[in-house]
Amino acid sequence: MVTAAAAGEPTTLAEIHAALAEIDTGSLPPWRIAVLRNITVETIEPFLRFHAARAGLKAELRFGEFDNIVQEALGAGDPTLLANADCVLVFLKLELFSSGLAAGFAALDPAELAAEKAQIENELATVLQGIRTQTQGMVLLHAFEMPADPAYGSLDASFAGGQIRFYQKLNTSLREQCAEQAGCYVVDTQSLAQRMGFERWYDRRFWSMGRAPYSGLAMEALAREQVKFFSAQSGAQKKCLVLDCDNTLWGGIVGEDGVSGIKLSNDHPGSAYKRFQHEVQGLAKRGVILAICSKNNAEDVWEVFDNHPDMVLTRDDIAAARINWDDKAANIQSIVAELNIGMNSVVFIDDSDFELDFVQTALPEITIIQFPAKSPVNAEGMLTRLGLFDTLTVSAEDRKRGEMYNAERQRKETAGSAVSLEAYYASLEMIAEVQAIDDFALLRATQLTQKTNQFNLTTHRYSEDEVRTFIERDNAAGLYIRVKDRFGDYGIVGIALIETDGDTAVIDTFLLSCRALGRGVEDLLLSETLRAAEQLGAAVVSAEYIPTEKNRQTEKFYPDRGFATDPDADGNKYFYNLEQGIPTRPDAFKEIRSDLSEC
Amino acid sequence: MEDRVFQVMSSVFRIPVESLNIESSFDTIDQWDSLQHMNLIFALEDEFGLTIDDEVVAELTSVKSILEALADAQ
Repeated sequence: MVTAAAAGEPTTLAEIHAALAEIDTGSLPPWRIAVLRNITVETIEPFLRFHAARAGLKAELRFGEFDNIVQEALGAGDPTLLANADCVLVFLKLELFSSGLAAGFAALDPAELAAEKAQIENELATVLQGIRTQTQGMVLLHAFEMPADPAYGSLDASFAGGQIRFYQKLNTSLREQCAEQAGCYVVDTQSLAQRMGFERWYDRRFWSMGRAPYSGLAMEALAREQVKFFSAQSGAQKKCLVLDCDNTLWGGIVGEDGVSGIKLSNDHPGSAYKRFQHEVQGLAKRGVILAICSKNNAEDVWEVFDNHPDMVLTRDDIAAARINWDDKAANIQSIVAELNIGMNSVVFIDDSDFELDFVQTALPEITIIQFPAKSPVNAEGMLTRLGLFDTLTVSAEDRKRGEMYNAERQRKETAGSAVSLEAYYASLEMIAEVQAIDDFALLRATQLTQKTNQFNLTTHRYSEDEVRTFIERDNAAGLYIRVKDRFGDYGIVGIALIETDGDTAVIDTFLLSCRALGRGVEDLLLSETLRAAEQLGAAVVSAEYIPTEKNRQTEKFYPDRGFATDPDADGNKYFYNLEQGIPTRPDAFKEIRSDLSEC
Repeated sequence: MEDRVFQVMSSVFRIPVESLNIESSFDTIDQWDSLQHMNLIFALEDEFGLTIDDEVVAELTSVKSILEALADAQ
């Protein structure tokens, strides 16, 4: 799993060792890495092995002799070092490569600097060509880092003879030389160091003691970056991004808040979602296939696409969409079948712990990312930084790939295949509590009647007084359900209000918050509601589905659960004869605490 | 503190924690070379949340000297 802010990701050596011990690398294809260097970089090994393993490669490192880059590139030393390499990493520390620069930049006059530059460029060419005569493997050359403390101080950046400009020119020629050699790429160490800050990037102690310039954190970041190239080369890069909609493409829930109520705009917080969409669209332009998987009414989502003024993504950007109330694992399987791609090339982004964990459990090959819904500003740059979709080239065809899939959308009939929900529910360790609505629950119960649109059978809106008056009557009851699982406490997620008329109990209100849907919670609330009706002396329970724009998903709720259509009524009225017995409680729960004594 | 140091050393040197004792040092642990010394310093800094000065880094060649340095730092 890859999380948004990389929270919980192993980064320290101890964490990396522990994480590596969990991965069986024995079955992975080997990826042989030769390291040419003029600095001490052996500490990168565990980090490289870890990140490579996560990309499906078994990294096997061999280090060339210290400060023998040119010799080894020219074939001196162990001839098998480069000959057998899938990849050559070249760590070339400028200050050790050039004795002149090591002596101090400001001490060199322009002629000496020009001579240094020519010599560095010349040796660089020798190294690159030498490596190429020995192996056709990928070559990763690390860019020269800008000076942390430029020689001419505050003047340096504006001074033509400044150190920054000199290093930039060297990097330009390094890039140009790389571009001339097939399979040779520049690792942009400067960006990595900037993101981390030089103070954390370097470790002056070990630089001074053992020519080891980089901190453990820097090694981790370098390894992570290098593996992006390995992934792209070995075909392990991701191809398809499956996007959730609510609280991912926009803030809020379109089914609840309406198209005009969602957060998507040029101002905070809607702007965070808009910038995220720009980034996602940029990925599509680089050839990433976009798909949508959302629990929603399809019309609501497409209305946002078609009519929201700040929507960035268009229908044309989306190659496949599953907008329905089925489980997301089945929907993603169906997307993958339609697009004819491998599950291991799919990345799924969603804000919900539940959905991510469910999909990951059902589809272990998929990569999941959590959208940082609590702090959407952190979404920007996240996908780019993870580099999951990085390729070694960008072609004109890449830019059209999304459209291509879009045109093929109709080609295949999809066969959804369900994943065992039961096994998954058991792993959630859900605890449900069902009780009569008391003073503490009253406010939340009222809110739910006012706010819930989607899973709401009758959509009766009530004030706090109305709910209290309703349940205080002797012939009426109100119950709530509260749910916890291993992800946390969801609080009160549903209520039911019933009243009796003779021997018939009428379900006046039956609703669930959308955060609790699809885990057996609805079945439990229903069985307990029928139990409460029985307790009130009813023999028959009458129920109604009142259709609205938003609650279509509950249309078949009652008939699917053993309710008979009421022959005396037209439309969506149902009854349940309590002589058939109360339906068994769903077995998805680890524990059910039902106390209806106060109903 | 001692146990935490043993844990760190065990993790860095890839040796069983039982093989370590208060007398363990650079001379008694084969895996402890100059490269692993860097990793040891990084790992101790992670574990104890401190930065070890360069003058001290070179002196931390035994369990005893590590414990002393940690005691001084806290």
